[in-house]
Amino acid sequence: MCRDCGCDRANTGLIEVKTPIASSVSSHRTLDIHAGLLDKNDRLAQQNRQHFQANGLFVLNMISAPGSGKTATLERMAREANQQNDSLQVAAIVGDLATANDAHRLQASGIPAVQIATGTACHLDAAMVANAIADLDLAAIDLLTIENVGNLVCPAAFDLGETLRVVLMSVTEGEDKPLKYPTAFKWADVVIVNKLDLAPAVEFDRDRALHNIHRIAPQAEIFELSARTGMGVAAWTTYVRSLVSSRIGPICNPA
Amino acid sequence: MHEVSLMESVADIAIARARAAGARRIHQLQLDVGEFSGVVIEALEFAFEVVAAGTILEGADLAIATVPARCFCETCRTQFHPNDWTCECPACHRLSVDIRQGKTLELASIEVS
Repeated sequence: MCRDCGCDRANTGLIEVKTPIASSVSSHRTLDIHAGLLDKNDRLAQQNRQHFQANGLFVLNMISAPGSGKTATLERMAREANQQNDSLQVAAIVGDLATANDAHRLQASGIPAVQIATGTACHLDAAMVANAIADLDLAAIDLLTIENVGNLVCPAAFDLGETLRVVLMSVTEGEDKPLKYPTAFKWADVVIVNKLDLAPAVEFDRDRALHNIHRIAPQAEIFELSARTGMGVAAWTTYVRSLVSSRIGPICNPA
Repeated sequence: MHEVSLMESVADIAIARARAAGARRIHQLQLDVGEFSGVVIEALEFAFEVVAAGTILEGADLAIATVPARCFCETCRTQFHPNDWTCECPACHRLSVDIRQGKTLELASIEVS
């Protein structure tokens, strides 16, 4: 009889008992597994990535704390692209615990948007994104923006199949945000510092913030902007535009 | 608390493998968790209690081994263990972007009967 679980070792037929003295635990055996906990998500993310590539789609995964300005930045970007007479077609997938408020907001700005209400889940995963893209006409889109659930911890672990990972912070969140939440910033391709118009009011120490971002994510391109006033948005939009073009060829017909 | 969904993956994998091997109970799980994986060990332990309840995992011992982060310095051509998330080379003080180890999140083994 097994001391731990009370099982009848003789009936299991699973083990060879070599030493009678240790028989109480010898019915236990170790199975090597070596399975990654994110393997399933990573596989699905890779499928998403192939699907996006096949459709000539450039995809941003936007990660930030709640209220840093992910939706406002996208709205402003779309407006900026319009002003530049750019035919860049933008769509969005928006993750929140509840409501479709952000999707409605984007739709009102003329951006096709699909809301994922995650319920209690604190992050988007590749499967949720795969479901959501079924509701979008991918052939009509050049740039897909995935607004992750407002959270600087959990979304960092989940590859969604994106082309570029963008982490936002706003000046009101403090210059040491990257040091406090390194998991999100560490794997960022781009860091956006938003709400630049509020910098004087909160005595934002720009140099210190940029230094901290660079310390955690030396690889990241940094853009400073105000989605509200539009300051700095042109540079960010132009950057994305050039990446989209270099990837999938010019979108505007030069003729 | 994405640790709950991670632990659900652990439970799914462990239970499927145990059953496939004809086992009736799981006594121990060995998890390898990287320093840069972004998970909180205490949260994993808490989540484990929740997902294990009522399954053949209930009461199992959760052993967690930390996998240290390793960065590569381009200048010194050597690997080092970073002091923190900044990955500054202890010899030349340059910041490394080449992280060779530390993101592991793996169910290494289970002990069954």
